[in-house]
Amino acid sequence: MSPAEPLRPHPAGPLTAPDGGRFPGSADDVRLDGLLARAAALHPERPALAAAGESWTYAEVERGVETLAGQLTAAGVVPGDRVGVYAPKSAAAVLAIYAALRAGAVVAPLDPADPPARTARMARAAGLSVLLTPDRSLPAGRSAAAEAAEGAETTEGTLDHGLNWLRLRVGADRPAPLPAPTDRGGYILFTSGSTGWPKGVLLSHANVAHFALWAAAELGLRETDRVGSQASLTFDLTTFDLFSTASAGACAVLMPDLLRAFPRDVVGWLREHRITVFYAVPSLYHGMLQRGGIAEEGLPPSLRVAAFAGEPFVPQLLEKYLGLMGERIPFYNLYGPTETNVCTYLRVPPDWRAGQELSVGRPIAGDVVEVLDEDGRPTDGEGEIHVAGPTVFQGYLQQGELRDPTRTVPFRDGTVRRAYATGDLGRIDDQNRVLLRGRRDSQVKRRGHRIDLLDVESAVLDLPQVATAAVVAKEGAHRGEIWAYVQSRGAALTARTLLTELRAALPQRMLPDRVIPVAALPLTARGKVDRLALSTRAPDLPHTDQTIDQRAGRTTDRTTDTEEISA
Amino acid sequence: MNSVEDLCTLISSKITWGRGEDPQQLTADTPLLEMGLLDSLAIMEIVSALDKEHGLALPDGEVVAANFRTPKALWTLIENLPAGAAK
Repeated sequence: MSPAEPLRPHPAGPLTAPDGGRFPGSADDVRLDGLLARAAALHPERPALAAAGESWTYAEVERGVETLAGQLTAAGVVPGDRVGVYAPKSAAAVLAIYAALRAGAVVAPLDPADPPARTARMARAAGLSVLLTPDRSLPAGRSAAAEAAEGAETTEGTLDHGLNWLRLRVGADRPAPLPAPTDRGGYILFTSGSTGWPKGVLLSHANVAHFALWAAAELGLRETDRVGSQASLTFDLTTFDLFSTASAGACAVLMPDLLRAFPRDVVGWLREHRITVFYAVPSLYHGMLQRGGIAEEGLPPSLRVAAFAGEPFVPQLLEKYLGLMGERIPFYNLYGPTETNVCTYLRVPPDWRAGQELSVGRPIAGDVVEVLDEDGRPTDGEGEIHVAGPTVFQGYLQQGELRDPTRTVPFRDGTVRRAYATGDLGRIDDQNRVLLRGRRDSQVKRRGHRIDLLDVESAVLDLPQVATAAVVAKEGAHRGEIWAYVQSRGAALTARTLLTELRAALPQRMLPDRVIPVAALPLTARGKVDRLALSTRAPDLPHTDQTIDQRAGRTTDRTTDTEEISA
Repeated sequence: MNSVEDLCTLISSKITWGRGEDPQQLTADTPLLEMGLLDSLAIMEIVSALDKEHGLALPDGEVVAANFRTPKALWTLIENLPAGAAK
């Protein structure tokens, strides 16, 4: 690449809504709930939302949101309040998100499948003052609210659509208002932190809208599209499902949570609901091809564009998909941590082959990406990927306070920009595309979820029975699995009891795949825990008390008190 | 694998039970999916254990939510597997 040019979008078209209409050049003033209002004005009778056998037009959703927002205001929600939507994926959850945005709140989708203790930590980290929750999640919501309020009294009331509000903080107990632009609302998605406390990623309306409008334009969304929404609302993929869809006046079709674990059902659901646009993690695409029937029966005939993000695609399976899609169905590789939304993209060439390296492509319109070496200088070699531009978040919410980790960084064109250091290592190839090369910290991806190993480790260390522990990502035969090596405090500690305790602290997706009780952790020559040795250690090697079986002349495992089970 | 109780034992062994949850509670009618007891990994482990430990190969097309709703639903499927499926 030219040394004078930082990595800019290409081709850099102006950012416009698909109809070429109201958002020339910039998403700066776009509100996410405004996308809904606009679609309701342009396409009042078109379907906006379909879920659980029911369907709502844009006019109906807009009316429901307007009423619900009025009820929230009446219940005391003011602009800038941070409001959690604690609900399984459902039409009511979508209405609650839009209504809270309409009321000027900063909205945090929360998953009732997570342990209430974890949800309470999220609520405290983000400074949430209200939870919105449907009747069926109310008992769990109350216990999360009570824990988050730390003994302070909580109040509650009912809303339309089977929803309830739970207030955790009142008056002086409310956290200090957020700075502009999030004093008028925004979006919070949580990410695994290294301390056992999830971090709230604070995004402005414009941060999300910029991505949503770009994606709608790039993927060519139109009002006749039916966008299949499969991920949890806590997952950043769903900002596309909700807001890109609304910007195009298309229909968001919510897949029931129960189907996600069954690739055969997912494929059947895509066919039955005539889904035209689908965005998912590679793990789900892998399952749909290997066990979902796509290999035998082909792609759902309605599908016309698809995208993936979140983790590497298995090359052979990707090649197979490209063969099925041909020139007819564009398949996009999108990249970006939650902190930057999607910041680069690649339309995977239909003739891509498994032996070739797959890049994550070029920056989306408006964003600029730079790779900096260890001294903070732009490099053509490997370095840390930095992202600047309108999709970059406002900062983390921790203990209720906003902390902005971005730095001003000189890019290779001499311009100094506010940039987020992603922690992803990579380089820029001669086609101006970004190639990923792993992480510089303890984060891993498992089934598309970003997990900080230190977050899991700190949950293990928090257990009173544990003396010390190391949580590592395995290499070799168990590559991709997360194992916890645990030394207990005196009394016998089984893997099973430990997993049982962890269930109360961590979401299922973050549980270790295996827990291995050990007599001691291996140390490096410098006396630090030898994580590399643990991550490469084979499971059948001794791990409690290594002895040499003299008769057989080989190493055996004397692990009478060791129980090894899978999560 | 002679009864739905045996199947409950197998399923129970693949679930990571939380505090206050009793693995013995698992009955033929426990709504496994509604209660969020099974994730995709647990499902794959159950399918694999039925195959490897009991010689019951579930066809891919039968690994669907309807058959995993309760232990009873899965047991009905197993009982109706064509003879060829049991190795």
